[in-house]
Amino acid sequence: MGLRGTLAKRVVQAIVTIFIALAIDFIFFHMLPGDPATFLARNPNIPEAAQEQIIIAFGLDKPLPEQFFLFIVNFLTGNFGISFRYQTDVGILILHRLLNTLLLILPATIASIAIGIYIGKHSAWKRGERADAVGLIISLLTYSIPSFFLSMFFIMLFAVNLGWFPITAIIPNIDFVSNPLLFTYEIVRRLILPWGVLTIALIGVFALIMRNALLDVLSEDYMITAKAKGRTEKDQLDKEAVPNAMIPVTTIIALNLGATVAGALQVEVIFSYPGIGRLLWDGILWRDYPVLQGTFFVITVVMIFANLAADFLYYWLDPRIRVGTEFTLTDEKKGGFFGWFLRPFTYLTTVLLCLDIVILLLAPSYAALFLISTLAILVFVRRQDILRFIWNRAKLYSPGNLTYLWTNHRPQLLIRLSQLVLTLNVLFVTIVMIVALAMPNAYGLEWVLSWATTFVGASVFPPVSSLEGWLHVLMLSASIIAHPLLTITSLAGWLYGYFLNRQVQTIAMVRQILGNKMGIVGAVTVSAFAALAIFGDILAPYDPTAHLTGTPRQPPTPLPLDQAALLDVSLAILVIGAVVWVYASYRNRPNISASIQWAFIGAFLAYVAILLLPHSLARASSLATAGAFLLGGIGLALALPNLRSALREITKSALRPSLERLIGLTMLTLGLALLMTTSLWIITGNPTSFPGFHLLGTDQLGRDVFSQLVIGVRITLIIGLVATMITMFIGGMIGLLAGYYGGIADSLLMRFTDIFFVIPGLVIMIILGAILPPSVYSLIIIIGIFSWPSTARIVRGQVLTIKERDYIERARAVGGSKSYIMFKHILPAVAPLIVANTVLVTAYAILSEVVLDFFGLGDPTMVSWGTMLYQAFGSGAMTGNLWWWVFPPGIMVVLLLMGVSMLGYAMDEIANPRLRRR
Amino acid sequence: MADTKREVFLEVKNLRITYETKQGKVKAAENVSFRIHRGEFIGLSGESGCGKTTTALSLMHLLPKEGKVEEGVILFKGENILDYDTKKVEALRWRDISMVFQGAMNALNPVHKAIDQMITALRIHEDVTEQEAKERSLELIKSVGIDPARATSYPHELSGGMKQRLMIALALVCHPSIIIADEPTTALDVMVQAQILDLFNQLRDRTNLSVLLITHDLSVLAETCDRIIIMYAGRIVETGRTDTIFTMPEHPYTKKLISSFPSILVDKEIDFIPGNPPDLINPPSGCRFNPRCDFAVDRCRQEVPPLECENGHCVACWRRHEF
Amino acid sequence: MSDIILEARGIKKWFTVRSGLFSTIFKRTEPTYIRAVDGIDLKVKRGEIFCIAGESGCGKTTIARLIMRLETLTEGELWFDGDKISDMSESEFKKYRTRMQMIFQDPYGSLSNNMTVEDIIAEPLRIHNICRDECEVDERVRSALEDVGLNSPDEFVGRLPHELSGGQRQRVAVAAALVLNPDLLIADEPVSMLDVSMRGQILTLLLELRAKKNISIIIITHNLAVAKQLADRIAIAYLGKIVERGETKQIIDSPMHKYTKALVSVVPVPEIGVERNRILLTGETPNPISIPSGCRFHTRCPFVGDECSQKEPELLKMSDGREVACFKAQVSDAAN
Repeated sequence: MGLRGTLAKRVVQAIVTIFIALAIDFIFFHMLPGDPATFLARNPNIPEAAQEQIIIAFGLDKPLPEQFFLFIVNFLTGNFGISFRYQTDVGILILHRLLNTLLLILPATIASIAIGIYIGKHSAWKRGERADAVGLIISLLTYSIPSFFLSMFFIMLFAVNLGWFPITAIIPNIDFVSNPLLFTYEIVRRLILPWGVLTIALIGVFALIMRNALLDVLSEDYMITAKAKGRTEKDQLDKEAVPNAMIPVTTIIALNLGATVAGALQVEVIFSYPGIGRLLWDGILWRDYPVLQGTFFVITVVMIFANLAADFLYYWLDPRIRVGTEFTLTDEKKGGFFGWFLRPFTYLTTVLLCLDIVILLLAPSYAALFLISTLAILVFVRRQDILRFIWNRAKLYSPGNLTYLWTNHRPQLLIRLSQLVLTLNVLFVTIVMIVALAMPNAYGLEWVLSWATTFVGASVFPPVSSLEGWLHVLMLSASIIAHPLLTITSLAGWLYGYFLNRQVQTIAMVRQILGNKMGIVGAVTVSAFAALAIFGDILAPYDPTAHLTGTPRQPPTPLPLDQAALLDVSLAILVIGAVVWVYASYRNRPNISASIQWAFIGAFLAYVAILLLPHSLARASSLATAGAFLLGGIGLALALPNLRSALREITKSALRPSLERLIGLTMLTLGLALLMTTSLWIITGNPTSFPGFHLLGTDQLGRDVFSQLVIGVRITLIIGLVATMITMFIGGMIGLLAGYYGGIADSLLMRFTDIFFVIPGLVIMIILGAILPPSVYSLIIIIGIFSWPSTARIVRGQVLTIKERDYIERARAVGGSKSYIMFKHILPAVAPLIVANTVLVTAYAILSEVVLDFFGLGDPTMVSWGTMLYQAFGSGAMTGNLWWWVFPPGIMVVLLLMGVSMLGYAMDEIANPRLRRR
Repeated sequence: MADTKREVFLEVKNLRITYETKQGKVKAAENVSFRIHRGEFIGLSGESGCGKTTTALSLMHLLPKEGKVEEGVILFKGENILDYDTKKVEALRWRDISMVFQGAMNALNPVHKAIDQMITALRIHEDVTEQEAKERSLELIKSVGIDPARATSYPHELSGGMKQRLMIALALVCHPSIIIADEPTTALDVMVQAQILDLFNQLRDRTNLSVLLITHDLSVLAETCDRIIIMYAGRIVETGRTDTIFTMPEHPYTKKLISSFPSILVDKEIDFIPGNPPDLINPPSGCRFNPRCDFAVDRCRQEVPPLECENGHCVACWRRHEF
Repeated sequence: MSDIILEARGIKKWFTVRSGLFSTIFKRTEPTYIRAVDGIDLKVKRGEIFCIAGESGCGKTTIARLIMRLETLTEGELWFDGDKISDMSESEFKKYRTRMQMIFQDPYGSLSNNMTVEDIIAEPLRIHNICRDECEVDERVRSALEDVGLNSPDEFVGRLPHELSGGQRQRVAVAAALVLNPDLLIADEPVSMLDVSMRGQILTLLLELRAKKNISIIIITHNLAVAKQLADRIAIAYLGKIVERGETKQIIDSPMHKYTKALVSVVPVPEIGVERNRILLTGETPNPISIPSGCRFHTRCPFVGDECSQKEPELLKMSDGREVACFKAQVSDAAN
């Protein structure tokens, strides 16, 4: 088909994506709760007459399909409507702002691509050595800093304190013709900071892309030929490896342009630079929907064209496509895709389902009844198969099997029992749900929703309902079996059994992660943040939402002398201990045995638990007490078994050569313990002994910054984790289905994923955030829905390679059905990759959450770092140089993201076969 | 043909190579010694994991990062190439010693045209003009039986056999003294294999090039090589002229290897060597073949048998003369 | 129970070659086909070792995959033990899957890495659910392990594939194939990835199994020497069709079809000083998209006649019982 055919295919795809973007745009603003007409009415600064004129102009009163047609015509002809706030035509406004944004983005992106590729190149070539570690740390650091925080940091440092550059980057009104030199000088002076921020923010993304692509290429056979030809190392890299690596890199860079747009958005807001990002920010503030509609469409179109350009570059770079005849070997089964469709049972189900959907739209109240009846019919039709399936499963629990399992496969028995409990539990949950839905007046949707929250542990169980009588008693007894705690315990049982079965592999994986320096640092950071979330109630001296706990904008109160001295002493011990340890490893003294190290760590954890227990009991916070006991338990579990062997070794003189290490280790532990005690004493003690003491000062409403910091971690972790579970589920499923079933299902699903790749995720999230009511749930759903494409793509790639393996063919030859092979062979092989990728997606989810909060779209009732920075930016903390209000939340975000990315990267290096060391 | 008075291109003396892996130190090759004379075709054979490819890669400093030459000397025309600095190593590679790889499918860089890869190789070692390099390359491509019109195509457009022929042309481009061919025909069909072996035999008659042919397939060696070296678990067990090895093998492993090799002409009972290949991280003490050898005695299990040579036929086995 | 266990009548497998997204969906342009298997008849007797040999691209693996229904038939019929299995639905066919099993070329790829040896061998039993409980599954797994010569089952049962050597893995694959006591075993290049010293172990194992359980075995290989040691009858395939079929001795020692003659004359032998007149064919097997007219081999055949490029020769029975598809051979056979 050659080059021409492939490119034609790409152009068609681009056009289709534009239409889909239009459709999404239309859905956002026309069908979501409260259509534009009501927004118009609610907007104060547009007079009544103007509103009438706009409604007619945009046909907002006409039926939906007609509105859609009018909408498309208007958009394609560039008529985006009138802005509520500026009263001018949105099209011209956007065009003007777009040019400014391009002026900002282009130089920064080009610079960051160049630097990123340079770092990635050397990091891959010197894999495992120091240069690789440095390259990785730089990439992960720049990847983890949200652009808006970096901009605030730069402004406070360079503009406010050093005064080198102007605070805001407003386009000077010197016209270019009369005085080009001054104009360019002014432009450069104003744009140096934003360019700097954008370049730094993007280096990490491109460096990682280049490193992974190059690692693939360097393991190929032709690289050995290149070396054997006598080429210098530089030529091997530049002339033989990089041209091959650039092929995948161009596509992935194009797909990641969304990151550039997101970065530009944040930079423009902070520097109040008149670009399209700022326009979006104002659009949200003023709920100016035509502007939001227009900006979304324009940004998406620009992104689509950028991707198209990258595709053309890709095909030009890769001779295998440019020259070769790329043909697809298709194997047309009888009837193929549609044959499957016409089979009687599937035909019946689709007909019934369409019926239900129609009823749902027309008469939602009867929908539940129809749904249940469809379910009943389907079960009746397939009753023999279902009965046989149940009979086979029941056979597993026959006494003969259970005794056999008890004798030699005990973990398998645990799995089977927890599976039984789980199926019962799920069965009863569905029954209760269906009954609740079927009787909307007695229970209805809210009841079901509150039921769902009990699963997340947010509210008490069982949800209260006004009804009495035998039905209610039945429901309550059913809900005992359908209790969420039972679900969680059976799931835990199953997982524990699974790990017991896989004990060897899981321990090996954990040891590998800890073997990898980045893995350890990542794991320690993440667990520190988890501890912060658990012990938050004790560590937060004030209620973070209580106003006027101190005078507003109060700087941090200095520590009393004795506490400050203690702090310095503990820090000094720590530093000396570290120096001794590094000196010992420099003189490569033999390392102390692992048991001694674990003994020290265990003792330290137990000591911290003992420290925290009294406070958590005093504060009567059940979470903290449970946390303290858990920590104590882990500490003892680590310390006790190793203590005996540690003592034996210390008494024996065998430790003579590694004495320095032992001294270093003891000093490190002692220093850390002292540090913990003093800091705990400062945090909990001072507010009571010195009223009005604020470790990190207060914000504009007098709320204690430190307490907000401590409590803020919870919402970030919850949203990050739950959103990632959604991503893992959606991305994993789509990747699995597309990879395994192939053919038309594969191309449809992949085109669907590409659309989500092309459309900038963050832009949609921001717009959706502005439309949907701000709440934790909407935030979780938005992030979950828009961050799964990368997982889907990686999982699909892996499934495609596994599918070709002989053991899949063998399972098919033996008679395994498609679903059997999917769950028994493909899923376990892909699972480690999904988990590793999920941790990386968590970093992206947390970053999105913080950015959304910063755009003021977070849940106002919840305390989070993003909202802290939003309020700080809003009340001029930057210009007022209130560093203690701006820096701590930013640094906490960066540290958390660094920890998660490092852990994710270490796991990816182990789980991802392509990256695994040969 | 390998009389000793002929010039020695390459001499390896008790070479020891180890690989550093997570599971431990793999003893890939141990006191390996052999000589390559001018114009001589030497076969290096043995089963997977016997150290033949490791030895070959060390001759051109191509060992991966984990690989380390612990001991021994590699003399190329009198100089020990292990002491070479990077400059001299890069000069040695492809000008004096070149290599043909097994995975020819993947050994050519997919983004460069076939002819360009030869031109760059030539211009690294000789400063010739682009045009002159192009002519010499086209000449070579014709000599290995590829239609010159296909020279400007990319590797993915060529068939398996053609890619291997191109690799041979590429190896010849700087007129090296030694070509190392690592399993050149294993990945090819029987007919194409015969064509490539025929090409090697033409090289043998036309040039005084010496070739180190590495393969596990004894029958390929029977047709092309003057002398054969058999390795097992990192050590040389037997070397000698091809006809003596095939007619009067003396080491038990060589005997069993030849007898378990099926032949299309002679009716042979199915034969095999019991047991499993040795673990090279902690290999068996003494002679490494003792766990699988039918004639092993206590001495074989304790002491390492030295390689004793009697008029060119060397064997490393204590009970060499007893049967 | 007829003595023919498996019969194939005119089986074909054509892969459609589509270029471009549009033609795939709207099927507008007339598709070109890769004719991997282009009309092959086979008869395999019970307890016989039948070998299909040929160079890569001749369709031998596709034939095996058609029999095991890993590929769907474009045309032709398949009969197993007297029943027509080619039109059966998947559920009906599932019963027959227990009676035919397959082992694959790559010992490292054919065993899933996160299953223990016991799970791998027990998998067929669990899929077909024919054991009354886990105890019976365990017994049958252990007896299967002993059948393939891994005589201390306890040592192997709990191990993972990456802890085994190549030969041991292939034995586990054979055990997994035999646990259902099939009547037919298809081995696709069973020994080509193993070291020479290990090959004999697997070949002897296959011969023992044929003797003990009277299983018929179809061997797919490119190595004629291995075929000679193992097979009772050999069929030589070229570009999707069988060109010659007969007793092993006839095919190897006195090949009649020109392609077989060339192949046998060129295979290297581990003997020294043997005079052989080698027929070195030029070029390589043509691309299956454009198969030459008439006899497929005529473009490379050194003895090509004029009718060779017009008509496709039929597979005719010769005087000594073998079948050859070559005009020249048929003429010279009729002559003497």
